[in-house]
Amino acid sequence: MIVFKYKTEITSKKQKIIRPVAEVYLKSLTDSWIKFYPYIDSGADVTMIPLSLGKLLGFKIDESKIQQIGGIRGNVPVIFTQTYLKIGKEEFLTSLAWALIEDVPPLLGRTDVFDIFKVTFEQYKKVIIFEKYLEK
Amino acid sequence: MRQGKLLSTNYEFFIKADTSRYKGEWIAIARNKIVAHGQDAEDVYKKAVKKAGDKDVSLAKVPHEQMLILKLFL
Repeated sequence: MIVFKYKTEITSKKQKIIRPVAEVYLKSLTDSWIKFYPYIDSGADVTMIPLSLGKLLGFKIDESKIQQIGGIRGNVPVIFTQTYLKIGKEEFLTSLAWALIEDVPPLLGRTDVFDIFKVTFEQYKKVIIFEKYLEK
Repeated sequence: MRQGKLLSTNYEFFIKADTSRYKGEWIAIARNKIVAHGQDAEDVYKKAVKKAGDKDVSLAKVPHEQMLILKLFL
């Protein structure tokens, strides 16, 4: 079981917003692990990373593979790819939307992740619990 | 709840840190402090590795204030 936490962020109007943050590792094309902190987004179909993080992972833009996906702020050009993701000790291949713009937050979405982990948001306690499903 | 060593001290630092001055930027954390920041994850990561080595660098993107993601659909 892994217990992630909410991060409190302060707006310029001094309002507090709390957001759920995970610690995950993505495997680069040179086989090194990059540790980063995406927001956990149960409303996101798929994990998404911004342009420059994809470049750090070694991804190259193939214009024939660019697609548009929808978000609350409009369409985002992405390339769908796959890479290994590690959460705690669990390492697995996952689908990934590589956004070709920088102005998107890194998101940990449901595809693959929520199939492997039971994810429970306990906002009152400011924690998000990831429990691995037992294999059948 | 027991965490063992599943989460790094950088993570705990990030959760508690006031990152408001870095809105819209990438930050790299190593040994419980912010060691690099900027607009490009690759540049920030490489600067951080130069300073701290590659064993203990974590990346985070500090969101703009109004970030609100309700859903992302395929």
